[in-house]
Formats: sequence, structure tokens, C-alpha cells
Amino acid sequence: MPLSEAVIEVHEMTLRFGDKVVHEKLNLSVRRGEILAIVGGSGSGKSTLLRVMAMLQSPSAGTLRVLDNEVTNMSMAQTLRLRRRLGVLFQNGALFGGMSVLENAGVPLREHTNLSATLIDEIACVKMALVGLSPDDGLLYPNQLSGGMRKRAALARAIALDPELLFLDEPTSGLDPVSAASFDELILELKSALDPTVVIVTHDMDSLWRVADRVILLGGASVLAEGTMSELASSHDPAVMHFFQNPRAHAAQESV
Amino acid sequence: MRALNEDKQQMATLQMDGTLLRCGGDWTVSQLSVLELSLKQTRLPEGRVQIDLSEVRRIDTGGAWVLQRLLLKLEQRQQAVEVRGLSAEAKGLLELVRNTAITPASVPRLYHSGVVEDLGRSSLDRARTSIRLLAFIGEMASVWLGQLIRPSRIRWRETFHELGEAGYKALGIVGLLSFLLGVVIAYQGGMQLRQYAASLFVADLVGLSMVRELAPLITAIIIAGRSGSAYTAQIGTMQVTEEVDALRSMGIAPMELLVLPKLLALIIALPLLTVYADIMGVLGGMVMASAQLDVGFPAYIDRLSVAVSVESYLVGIGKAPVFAAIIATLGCYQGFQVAGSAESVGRRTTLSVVQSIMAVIVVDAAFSVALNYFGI
Repeated sequence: MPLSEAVIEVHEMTLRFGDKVVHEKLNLSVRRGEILAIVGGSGSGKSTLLRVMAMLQSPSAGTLRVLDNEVTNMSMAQTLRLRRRLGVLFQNGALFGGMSVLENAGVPLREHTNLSATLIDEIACVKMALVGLSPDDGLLYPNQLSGGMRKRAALARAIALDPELLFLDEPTSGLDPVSAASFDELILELKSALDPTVVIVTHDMDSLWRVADRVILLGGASVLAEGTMSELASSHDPAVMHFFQNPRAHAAQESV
Repeated sequence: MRALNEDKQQMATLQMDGTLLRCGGDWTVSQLSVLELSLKQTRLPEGRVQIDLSEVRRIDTGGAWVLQRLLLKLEQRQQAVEVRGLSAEAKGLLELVRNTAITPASVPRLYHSGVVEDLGRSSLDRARTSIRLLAFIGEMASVWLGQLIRPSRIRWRETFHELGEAGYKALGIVGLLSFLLGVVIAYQGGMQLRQYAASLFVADLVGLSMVRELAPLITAIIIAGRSGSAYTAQIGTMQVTEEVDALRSMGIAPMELLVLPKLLALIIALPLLTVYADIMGVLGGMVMASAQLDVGFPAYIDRLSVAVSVESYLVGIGKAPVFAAIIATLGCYQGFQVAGSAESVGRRTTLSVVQSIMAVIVVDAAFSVALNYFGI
């Protein structure tokens, strides 16, 4: 099958909350195997777009296809089955506070497989090792973790079932530059190891240059521009320049 | 490979053919359970082993781990292993899992303590909790005394808000439940009294039991469930979201803003609610008496004024502020004990309600004994 096959297709999608229009007839597609970054100013609807694509928010109008399934008219059972093929890393981790890291990482396995507790713990340990946590970190509880460790633990849970699609909501926000850079590397390592299609919402310029294959800029309730990072950075469209041609963006570009 | 349909999945298999282990099917987490069981039960062959994976259709990290686990086991038994028929994907995943250097022994085990240790720990824990509760009451009292000296520091706005929440909004449920309680007592007691042609004394029965004991108790129990739980959940959630720390950082004492208005409001509201419950309970008894026992309203009210002394009435209402203090203190205290997670909010809320209701009933019993001793 061709590499550029679309795993997510958003067609003429509109999302409203009351009178507030978040997205108006938005179109975009995510290709298999790519790392797609969604950027935009605060309040441009990046995270809600991610929630729509991860099937956590249903659009007000328009269609959404995820992994060759028409999501808009799906039964509950089909939705649940499809969700197992997705992994989501939430902005603040959303780890279950009453469970240790090891238990958190094993939740999807415990729910969706019949494996023994021992084997589940071992697989959870492997996943934790893949995101850079040691087995002993598994006994810690979420409120004992630093911000960076919390994100890693949440990522271990997100990849528990080897998802085909991985959604990352602001993976590097709240991390110091060193941790953020190592998280970027981690994303690339996981990408090459497990080969999921990755959708990242971020406004971290360094991370955009480092990991994104393709970037979509949101603004005014729809897609303002899309392309590779260098294409967007050299664009002459004023709206795009406004976002990518400021001192902070330049600094990130020069450091690449 | 991944586009294969979900329903066409096959269980992962492992067939033994002398020293050749033939693997097949889908080595993915959802298809591994049978293989895991059979691997536990089968005896692995001795000597040099070959593992053939050419019939494995799909593999994921879980499958790769099961394979790695098998390899580790053979390695431990110092057997030579030859793995063949690995697809590029399987090779990559096996490499990945191997590089994590995880072994079955590296899974951390939770330390399980014995009975004696548990007993010791929980005793210590309880002792510490009691001390912390005492410290909390002490802190509350000292802030409150400070406010009594300078009444301008009392937060009237918050207090009135709490008064509305805990008092006014509880009128419906307190009224309904005490009315029904009056009905039940009149009905059950009246049936007995009628046998002795003493139906009129139903007024004594309902009046005394409601006014002296049941109205204060049922009101306190309702408020413990309604407001005590809300106090714990509110303060607990604020604790989790660091709002309590935010207040502290702005130089606002959480005790002053969060606890004392609730305490003050409840101490005012609960006696008033008790009076209301008295009226509704007696009313319930009155309705029942006239409907079932042919005791008219005037006769009932006449009898009531003889049966229920002012003392009994005041004893009932006098208990209410004490109950209020218990409920508000325990509710707020448990709220501040919340640490970390949403689960902790739930646990503390349960604790707060259970402890408040228990304390209210124990204190009520103590009141009965003490008042009896003093002959009131």
C-alpha cells in the first residue's frame, strides 16, 4: 500500500460550542507514517481538533474517517474497538492518581487482553523502559513524579497496545529545555521503533523543527497553511509570517 | 500488514517438533493468552533449540516480549538457540525489547507487610490522625477567638453564602423527612396506644420523641450527608488543584476563608433547621393522628402543650449547635487531609460523612446519659 495513504481524513468539519465557532468547514488529512504537527495561536482550536481526531469530541457537522472507518455513524462497540488502535497523551498526563506508574501503564492491557497479571506487568515494564523510565519508577504514584516523568509515564500508557495512531497534546509544554529536547528525541525513537502515525499539537518551535514531517497552521477557524517546516518558515503569507517569523521562531530555526 | 481485518485475527501458537519450536498466528497482545498458558505448562526440549517464526503473521511489542522471555529462559538453561524466519518487523521489535534489558526479575514487586506490622502501622496512623485533628481544632479555635476579639475580620459574605447553601437549600429535604418521620411514629405508636384506648397520648409520643431526640438527630444526619460531604469535596478538590496553596500565597488564611464561615453558618443553621424539623415532625404526627386515630387537631395541640416541656424543647435545640460544630469540623478537616488524587477526594468524603454521623450519634447518646444524670 502507498505510504501517503490517509489514516485520518477530516472533511468539511464544523465544530461549534453554543454560538462560538471553533472550526468552520475544516479539511485535512493525516498520511500513514508521518509526524504531523498542528500549530496555531492560543485559542485557535488545536487541542479541540486533536480531540475530534481522537474521537473524544464529535463534530457539529462534516465527516471524519479514522483508519478507514467512517466515525460519524459508528456503533458504540465499533468505536470502542477502534479506540484501542489509538493512543493519546494528554497535556497534563491524566494518569490515574490512585494507581502506581506500573499499574497505569498496564491499564489498557488489563482491560483489553486476557494475559496474566505477571505478563502484563512485564510488558508494562518494557513500555516504561521504552519511554526511559526504570522498572523501579513503576512503584511511584503520579503525585510523586516530576513533570517530565509524568509525561513519560503517560506516554508509556498511551503506547501500551502499540497504537497505529498516536496523539500527543503539547508533549513538551511545562518541561525545561533539556527535558523537552530529550522528549523530542524520545518521540523520534518511538516513531522508528513502533512506527505509529503521530499527530502532535504544540507551539514549541524547537520541537517543530526537530520532529515534524509536516505542519498545519490553524487560524480563523480553519487551516491557514500547511507544508514542511522550512516551507512555512519561508512563506510570504502575512498570517504565516506572523507566526513563524518572530524572534523566538528564528532562534529555534538557527539552532537546528 | 496492519491493514488486516480485526475479525480475521488468529491466536498465537507454538508447536513443538522435537527441538524445533514452530511459531505461528498473530503474536499480538490480544491473541497471546492461550500461548502464555501453554508455554507455562509445556516442557521445553533439551539441547540445541531452533525457533522458527516464518509463520507468524503479525507481532507487536507484547509478542516480542513473550519471545524474548522464552529466549531468556533458554539462555538461563544454557541452551544454544537459533532463531529463524524473523520478518524485518519482528527483528526490529525483538531488538527493541532486548535493548530495554528488562527481564522477568526486573519487575518491581510491591512489599507486602504482615498482620503485626499492619496493626502497628494502623495504630500509629490513627494516633497521628487524632493528634492532627486536635491540632486542627486548636488552630480553628485560635483563629476564631481572634475573630471574636475583632469581629470586623469575620467574613460575613461567605458566611451568608454558606448559610444559604447549608440552611435555606436544605429546608425541603429536612421538612419532608421529618414530616414522614412524624407520620411513621404516630402510625406505629398509635396502633399500640389504641389497644389501651389511649390514642390521645400519641401527641406525647410524637412530641417528645421528635422534639427531644429525633428532630435534632435526623437534621444533623441529613446535614452531615449533604453539607459535610460538600465541605470535604470542595476543600479536597481545592487542595488537589493547589487552590488552597494559592490562597496561602496571597496571604489569605484558608482557615479564615474556607473553614470559619462554614462553621459559623452551620452553627446558626442547624438549630433553625431543627426547629423547622420539630414543627414538621409534630405536624406529620398530627395529620396521622387525625386520619387514623380520630384525634382531632385541637385535642392534639392541647395535649402537646402539656406533654412537651420547654426544657425538652430547649434540650433538643441545644444539641444542634454541638452537632453543627462536629459536622463542620470533621468535614473541613478531612478536606485538608486530601493528598494528590481524585481518589483521595472520594475516600476522604466518605470518611467525613461516616465519621460525622458516628460522632453525632455518640455525642447524642452522651447527652442522654448526662442529662439523665442531672435529672433534666
